[in-house]
Parts: sequence; C-alpha cells; structure tokens
Amino acid sequence: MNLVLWSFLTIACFFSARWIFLRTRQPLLHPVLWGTAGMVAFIELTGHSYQSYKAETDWVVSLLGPAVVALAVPVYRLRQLIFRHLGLLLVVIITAVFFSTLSVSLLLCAFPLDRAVIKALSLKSITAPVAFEISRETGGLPALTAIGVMFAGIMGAILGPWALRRTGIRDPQAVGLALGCTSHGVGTARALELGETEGAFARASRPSRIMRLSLVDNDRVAVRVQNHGHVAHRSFGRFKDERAAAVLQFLDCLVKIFHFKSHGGAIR
Amino acid sequence: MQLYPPARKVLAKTGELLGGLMIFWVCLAVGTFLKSVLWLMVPGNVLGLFLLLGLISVGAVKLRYVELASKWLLFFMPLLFVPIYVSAAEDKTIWAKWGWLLVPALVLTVTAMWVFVGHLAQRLNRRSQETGHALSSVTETSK
Repeated sequence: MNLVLWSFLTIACFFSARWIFLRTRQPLLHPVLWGTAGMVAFIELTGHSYQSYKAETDWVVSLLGPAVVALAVPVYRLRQLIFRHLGLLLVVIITAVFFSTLSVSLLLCAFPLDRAVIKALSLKSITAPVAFEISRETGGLPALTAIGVMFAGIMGAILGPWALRRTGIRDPQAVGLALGCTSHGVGTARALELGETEGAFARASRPSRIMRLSLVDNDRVAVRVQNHGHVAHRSFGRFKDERAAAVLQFLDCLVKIFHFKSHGGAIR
Repeated sequence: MQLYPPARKVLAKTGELLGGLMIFWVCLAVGTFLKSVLWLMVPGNVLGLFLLLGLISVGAVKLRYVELASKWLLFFMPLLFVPIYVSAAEDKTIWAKWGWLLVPALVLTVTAMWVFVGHLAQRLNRRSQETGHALSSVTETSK
C-alpha cells in the first residue's frame, strides 16, 4: 500500500462515517470514532502493519500544526466574549485544569501503571491538537492521549447534557463551560445544539484552555522561575509562578525544582 | 488571457486559500523557531497561534486573508486525528493489561469534572449576578 491509497482510504472512511453521522445526528455514530474503527478493522483484516500506515499518513498529522495556528481566527472572533467574562472564565478554567489533572493522577497513582500512561491521560480534557502536541513534545504517549481526548469528547456528546441536568446544573453558561472544559470540541458542538448561550461559553472555554498550557516544563512538572532575567519570565510572570508551581508540583506527585538561568538550560 | 467569471472566482478563492495556508505555515515556523531559540516550554503551534492573534489584532494580517483557510483547515481537523487514533490501536498490550482500569477511570473522572465544573460555574455566575455584576446576554456580546 502506498501513500495515495492509505490517504484515500482514511479520507473515504472518515467521510463515509461523517455522511452517516450527519443523517442520523447520533453522537454514538461520531465520524472520528467510526472512521478510526473502520481503518483499524481494515488493517487488522488485511494484515497490514500499523507502522506502514503511520508512515504513509504522516502528512495528514503534520497538518495539525497549521490547524492549531488557524484557531487564532475563532479566538479573535470571540475576543469580546472572552474579555467580558475573563474573570469567570479564568477561575473556572484554571480550577478545571487542576481538577482534571488531580483526578486522573490520584485515581491512577494507586496502580502500578507507567507514569507516561498517567501523564498521557491527564491531558484528556485539553483541546485535541494541543494535547497531542504537548504529549509528543514531552515524550509521552500521543496515541493514548488522543484516545483519552476522544473518549472525553464523545462521552460529553452522549452523556454530558443528561448528567449535568441530573446533577442540578441548569444555568446555560455553566452547562456550556462544563461541556467546553471537559469535552472540548465535541462537547462544544453538543453545547451549540443545546442553545446559543451554552455554545458560546463552551467555545469561549476552548481557546482560553490553550493559554494556560505554558505553566509546565517538558516533563509537565511546574516551572519555578528563579532568575527573572530569563526569557521564560516574560511568559510566566503574569501567572504568579510561585503559587502555580506549588500546586502543579503537588499534582505531579514529584518534587522537582528547575532553576532557569540566563542562556542556560534546566538543571535538576 | 480572458477568463470566465466562475473560473476567475475559483482562482481567487484558491489564491485566498493558499495565501491563508502560507500565513499559517509562516506563523508555525516562526513559533517553532522561537521555541527552539528561546527554550520556551510552550508548543511551537501555540506560539504560532498567539503570533497570528497578535498580527490580526494590530492589523498586520487582515482577518479576511486567513478566514477561508482557517475555515477549511478547521473543517478537516477531525480527519487529521484518524491516523493518530488508529496508531493507538497498535499498542494492544496496554489495553489488554490495563483496559479494565483505564476505561472506568476515564468515565469516572470525566463525569466528576462535568459535575464539579458545572456547579462551580453555576455558583460563580449566580454570585456575580447577585452582586450586581450580572453577565449580559451572550446574544449581545456575540453581535
């Protein structure tokens, strides 16, 4: 199988699933889920290797970089909403991030799992292209991160509104934020179906969730900037780095202190 | 050379799309370069996003230059994940050994997060409304 055939099969599989999804509007028939299932079934049935599939479809994945940059357009369009509700969005998003990481870490720390697995899954509530990029850059397990992200998204589309209603959350802005923070793009799409307010707040929670990712280092451990002359200070200064570092270090179950010096690297 | 109006329109749209994609690629390249040179921990694509956001805000890049390309790329974005998800199926040992734990853990943590974030946002919103800083309707803001 060559590049053209693998690419064609992937695109055909995805758009067939999308066609069915658009006609049925059933969250369980999400095109990403069934597009993936179709390709996995094809590879397993025909006995091809995943390695060759990965190599031939690498160009598709490489489009994720510009796709993340393209998110600047919807972020720019939502700037008024973001600035008007900045306080509410920041409090909810930062708390949600801590809660997401803490819940996965505490739950899975009790089992003899590889740390990379825990780290990969703790990124589950981050918008998919950014989560994937962080996982890839930090030497994690991008594929497992992708599964966690997909799981959180599809679960949000299927059960999210029902679970929120059952637990007494009826405020449309709260529903939108909960779905956007937890289930990112797929949750946002579901929130848009519920109403304009839900959809707008779900969308507003997505770009903002990109902004806070700069708080951790390559091991996803918090960064403590001691020498404020370092270039990194400019990006961390506004976050009150000492407080954020303490919480993130606790969440990571590790005590690592990185000292940044001018023109120097990280020293453990 | 004389072109029929539909052909001219197609060419203009194609140019707009390619121009937008080029701008994204340049921002991505600059973001990746800045990341490597300044030793930043932010992914290169996120730096590129902020760079483009800044350029649009100051008017250096007009929104209409990148609108079509953004729409196009974001439309295809879910497709870009299919190869990644397919790769996840390769590592069967993790799923065979830990699937019984990972799936319930994901269900539990995602549900807990909905409830927690939903209640937090609801309470904060109610409080801000009570103190007279009620959030105006989203319809107004989105206009």
